[in-house]
This record gives sequence, C-alpha cells and structure tokens, in this order.
Amino acid sequence: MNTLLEGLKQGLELGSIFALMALGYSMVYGIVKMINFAHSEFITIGGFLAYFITESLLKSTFGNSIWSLLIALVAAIIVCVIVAIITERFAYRPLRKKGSSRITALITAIGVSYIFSGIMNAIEPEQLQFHKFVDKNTSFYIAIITTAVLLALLTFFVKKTKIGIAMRAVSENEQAAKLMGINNNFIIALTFMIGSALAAIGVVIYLLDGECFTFEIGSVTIGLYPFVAAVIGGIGSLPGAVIGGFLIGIIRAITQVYSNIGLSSWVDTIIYGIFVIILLFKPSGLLGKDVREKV
Amino acid sequence: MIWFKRMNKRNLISTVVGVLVLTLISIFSTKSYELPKILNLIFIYSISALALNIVCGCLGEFVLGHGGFILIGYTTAVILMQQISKLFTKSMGKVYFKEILVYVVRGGELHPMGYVFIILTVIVAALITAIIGFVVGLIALGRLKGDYLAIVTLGISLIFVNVCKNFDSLGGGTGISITTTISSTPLLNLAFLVAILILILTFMGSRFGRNILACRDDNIAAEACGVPVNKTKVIAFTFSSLLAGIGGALLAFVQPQAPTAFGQDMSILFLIIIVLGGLGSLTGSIIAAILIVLYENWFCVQSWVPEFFANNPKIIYGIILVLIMLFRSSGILGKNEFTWNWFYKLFKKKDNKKETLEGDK
Repeated sequence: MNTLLEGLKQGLELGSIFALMALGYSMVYGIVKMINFAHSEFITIGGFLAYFITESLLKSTFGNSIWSLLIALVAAIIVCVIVAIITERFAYRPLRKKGSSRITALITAIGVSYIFSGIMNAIEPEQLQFHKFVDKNTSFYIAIITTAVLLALLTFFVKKTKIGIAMRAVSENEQAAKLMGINNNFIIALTFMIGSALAAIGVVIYLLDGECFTFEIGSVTIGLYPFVAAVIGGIGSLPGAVIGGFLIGIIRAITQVYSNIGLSSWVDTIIYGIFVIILLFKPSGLLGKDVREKV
Repeated sequence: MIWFKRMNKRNLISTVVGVLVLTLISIFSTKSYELPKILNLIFIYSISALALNIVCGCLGEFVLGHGGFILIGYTTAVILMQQISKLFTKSMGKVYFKEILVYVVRGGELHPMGYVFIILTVIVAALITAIIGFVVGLIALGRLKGDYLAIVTLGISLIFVNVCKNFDSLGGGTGISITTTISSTPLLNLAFLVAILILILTFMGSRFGRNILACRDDNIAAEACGVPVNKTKVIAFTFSSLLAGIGGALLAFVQPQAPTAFGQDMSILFLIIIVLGGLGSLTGSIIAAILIVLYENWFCVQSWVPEFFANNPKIIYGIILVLIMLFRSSGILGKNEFTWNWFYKLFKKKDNKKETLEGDK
C-alpha cells in the first residue's frame, strides 16, 4: 500500500463499496425526500449477521467454501430487507400519513438510527474479525464487478420496467402518482428494501478479505462517507452516487498512502472540506437537478 | 423590554421567587458531592439547548453541527485559562496563584478573582465562537437550506472535531491533555443562565427577533414584506453560536471532555433536548435539559435502576425521539412557554369548576 497505484486500487475498491451504500441513501432520498440516517445501521446489521452466520457455518459441513459466504450474504440481505420494511412501516409511514414536515422525518430517522446502534452496542461491544474468504486482489475485482453489474441492473430496472417507472413517478410527484393508480406505499417500501439490500451487499464485500469491525462500523468506521458520497454526486441520482462513492473512496485511500506525512489523520477534514465546497457551489450535487422554490 | 411589560405580574413574581430558591440551592449545594455537578450540567445544558433552539425553533433552519460550536467555545476557554495561569504563575509565583484559584470541590469557595477570570474567559471564548459562527453562517445560510444546510453544518462540525484531534495543544485524540486549572460553581452558571434568558427574551422581542419569527413562518412572504431574510438568518446563527460558545466555555470549567464527544453525539443530544421540550419554546428547552441531565446523572446511577439504562442511553434516546415524533411532534410544551398558571389553579379548583359549568349553560 505504499505506492500511489496501490492506493488507487484500494481507493477503487473502497469507492465501489461506498457507491453501493450511497445508492441506498440516494434512492430513498429521491423518492421520499428524507435522509435515511438509519441506513448506516442497516450496514451494521448486515455486517453483524454475515459475521455470525459465517462463524457458525465454518464449523458445519460447508466449511471454508464459497457456499457459506453466499448463504451468509443472502441471509444478511433478507434480514436487512426485513429491518428496512419494519422501519418504514412503523416509523416513517405513520409520519407520511400525517403529512409531517421534512424536519420531523429527519429527526425520526436519527431516532431510529440511535435505536439500532444502541441495540448493536448492547449485543456485541467487542471487536470482531470476519473470516478471510479471499485475498485483497480478488476482493478488489469482486467489488468492482459487483458494483458495475448492480448499477447496470438498477439503471435498467428504474428506466425500463413498470415498477421502475412507477418509482420515478412517485419521486416526481407523489400525489399525481397516486391519482394514476400507483400504490405509493408499496413503491416506497420497495425502495427501502432495495437500498438496504445494497447496504448488506456492500458491507459483506467490505468485510470479505478478513476485515476487523465493531458495532460502530456503520456509524463510525464507514460512517457518513457513503452519505457524503451520495450528496456530492447529487442525491437522488444513481450515477451521481457512484461517482461520489469513487471520489470519496479514492481520496480516503490516497490519504492512507501519504500517511508518513500525517495526511491520514486529516482525512475527515479533507473529505468534509471538499464536500462543503462542492455543496456551496452546486447545492444539488454534481449530477443533481436544481429545483427552484415556488410560491 | 417588551416581554417585561407583557409578562403577567403573578408569573413574574413566581419566576423571581423560583430563581431565588434556585440561587439558595446553588449556594448551599456545595455541601453535597453530587448536587453541584448535576446543577452545573442542568444550567449549562440549558444554555446550549437555548442556543440551538434559536436556530432550529425560532428561525426554523435545521442545524446538525451544534456540537462543533460548543467544542470551539470549550477549547478556547481551556486555552485562555491555561495562558492566564501561566502568566500569573510567572509573575506572582506558584503559591499565591494556587491560593487564589484552587477551588476545593467539597465545601470550598471560589475566590472572587476566580469568578472574574472565568467570566472574562467565557466572554472572550463566546466572541471567538460567534466570529466563527458568523463566517460559517455567511457562507452556508445564504446558499443552502433544509436538509442540505443540516448536512453541511454537520460536515463543518466534524471538520472542527478533526482539527482539534490533530493538534495536541487543542486536546489531541483524548482531550485529557487540556483541562482548566479551576472549577466553576453552580451559582455562576445559574447567573449566566438567567442573564442569557433575559438577553434572549430582549433579543426575540426586538425587531430582529420578530424578523426571525417571520422568516420561520414564511420565508417568501417575509422577503416580500421587506424583511432582509439572509441578513436575519446570519444574525440568528451568529447569536446562536455566541450562546453555544458560552455553553461550551462554561462546560470547560465543569468537566474534562474529549473532542470526539463533541461530534455527532453532542449535536444530537441537544437536538433531542430541544425536540423533547418543543421547538421554539425556550422554557421547554430548559425543562427538557433538566430531564435529560437528571436521567443521565441521577436516574442511571441509582442502585435500583437496572444497568441496561446506564449502558444503553442510545436506545432510550432513540425511542424517545421516535415516540415524540410519532405521537406528539410538538414536544412537551409545543411553541408555548411555561407559565405558573397550573400552580395557582391547584388552589382554585372550586372556582374553575364553577366557571366551566356556567360556560356550558
């Protein structure tokens, strides 16, 4: 990890993982205009579940095979999706029904995030190490290919399929979409499900090469970076989230390369500095649409 | 001082009596061990929550970076106090300085000179925080609003935390390398709280205060009526960071804290307090601050309380936030202020019943 090239490679891997997680933030914001702070906790839940399942499978007949990884991945996705549905159903939907303000939704999201992170802390406050399935090189290719494939699939899904069109309609104008016979609640729940599934996939790829992690993986280690990536790229835009993810991932990896001059401890300042500057000059992000305020 | 004339006389007298009672408690609290700490935290948290409430409740803009401004006030106060101690130790010799400033926690009294030092330090720290808040407000508030403003302030506060972590003279990673040499007393913090409340009431009653409320209710309508929206927002933000600086500086004289604690968690703690009390309600913030401090420092340490509460404050706070938002999104008091009317009603039950009966007929 000493040369710039190695740093770039690391950055691309990290960037594609951030991109996967940023897609979740971006899609949810695009459709309900709410920053889903609980998304970082979906990441944590996915990581934990994958860890516990691989640990138990490693002792069984599956052993160190790719099957135990796949089973863990699927289980993590399913549980994350269920958690997302529950969150949406019991915390966010009642607010939408009441027609609450966006600040109310934001505060609720922070509350939900706090609940999950507190529960994770209560379950396992120790540091864990994920089983090393593949080496660093393979995990790089896995990360890049998965992100590319998922982005292509997602773009196809949103642009071409009927449900995707309904999704875009809801994000454009919820009331009008409802009048056109679109089941709003279903579409919004589906968006949450896709977002959390992407978060689970992202965190499993992140942990794949034997990474150490704690219950703070979602809120501190990976933290707000995917979210920053989504905002930089233009929240609500799929390719924007991926561009933002790569940008943040590469910046983070490059600061690691130059850690001998103390750059790595400034990573937060650099990333948030760039983030603030971009937002000040282009408040809707790099690829976001400008929306003018109407009277 | 419009608020002063508008205030019900009975309410005013009750409030003055309440403050006097608190003053007496503060003076005599130094005899016990736990009470001064709880009182200090209540007063300081109230100040910081009031500061956040001006932007979130009165101006209606959402800020997630309040902890960053408290951190600036805290760090400035600590550094100033260290410089002052150095100066005095050099010129007067160590022994005399210690005699003046050392405050014995149990049963001790702070020397009058200590009060002067603390007040001066707090004022300077608050001014520096206000200048930084003014710059941030000037840059961010004109261009951004809503969710984006919330995120940008969060990012800026994380930059502050990161900078403090990187310089040992600003606290370093642990924050233990910098602590003040003296501690403050509940009485001083109470005095600051009362002074700030009067300041806020005067400010909110003035033209600027009414402009702020107009901006909250309808940005565009306010602009059409000739309210300078951007200027008002920056003024409110600067005022808020000034008060946050005072809160942070006072906190420096009460407990040592690592810069990491000031990041997201402290911003969200104050968010919880103002949401619990009611956005826009000054007295609501104070009541909620009392509840949160009592929960953390009194309820959790009781022997009959299960350890679960002390170990997992995040779950409790999360549940509080979600439940408030779902069932009473206006908080305890809504936009109303606390009055003593309920207290007098306790003695007037019969009269009340008569009135309602007559009203029904």
